[in-house]
Amino acid sequence: MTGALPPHRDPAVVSAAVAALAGLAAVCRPLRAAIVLTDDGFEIARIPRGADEHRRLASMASAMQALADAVVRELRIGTNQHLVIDASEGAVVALRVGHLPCALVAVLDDGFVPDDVAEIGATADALARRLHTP
Amino acid sequence: MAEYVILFAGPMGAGKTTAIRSLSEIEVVSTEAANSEPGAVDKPTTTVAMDYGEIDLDPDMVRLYGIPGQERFDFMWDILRERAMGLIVLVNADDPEPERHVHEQLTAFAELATRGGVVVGVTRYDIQRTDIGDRIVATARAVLPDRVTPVFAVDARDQEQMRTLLLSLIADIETRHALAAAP
Repeated sequence: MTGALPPHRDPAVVSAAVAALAGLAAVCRPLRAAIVLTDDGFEIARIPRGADEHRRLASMASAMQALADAVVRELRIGTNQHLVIDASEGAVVALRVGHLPCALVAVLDDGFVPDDVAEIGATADALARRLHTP
Repeated sequence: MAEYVILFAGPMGAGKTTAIRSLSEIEVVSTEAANSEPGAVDKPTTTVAMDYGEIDLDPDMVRLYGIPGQERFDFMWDILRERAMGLIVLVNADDPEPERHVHEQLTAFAELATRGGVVVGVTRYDIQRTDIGDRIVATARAVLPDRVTPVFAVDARDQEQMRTLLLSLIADIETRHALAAAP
């Protein structure tokens, strides 16, 4: 990230996010959709492209992530690692991309396993490394 | 003892988070994120879920919720609107279109304004346009013709000014409830 452009307008960040999501789709079978977003809810990249049902997911994920951070802060239990919403017919996993002002949110079909959550974390870590942050 | 849930609405940069910090007697729960579009509103962070604070107006307890100003977070408006009893709309006097923001916010929260109370606070009034108050009063009257909507010039950083605004809103809520309950 250069910092000259916001992440969702930075071609290098968008390109890296698109590649990261494509890689995640290849290894995470229950993956229904995923978005890389800015902390304030702007979409950087998504799969599948143009899926209107997930139109509000970036802004919702931004709010969820911020609320989870607020709870962790309030309880003084360290830092928020990831957020999982385990629903009756699927799940949502959200986590930060390294120390960038970005997050990755994934929507999974029912039947996901812990390895799938680990793959999402590995994807976020790899994207952070590609963008040169820890 | 009564308990009031009050929403702070308005466009990004109007002073909602500052107002809640001025009023709250507890440490404010905030959900701020880095602002990716500083060209739109020049501030480093923006609220993405809500701000939460509390103030004890003995014997009443007031819960203060600030909602994100951007429409992409309007799902938070829906969540918090259901619980709310009153609305404080904040707008910047030096915004290019303060009346449009007042119109949008009062339209979005018309049901709350009708069943509960509403006041409008105009921030940075000292910096910009002396006739803005009249235009905002006219805008509020156009959106909510069946009620009087008080409009105040306020400094969101000033606890006493914000307290006056809040007490005015609570008086509005109590008056309307009393009138509704009257035989």
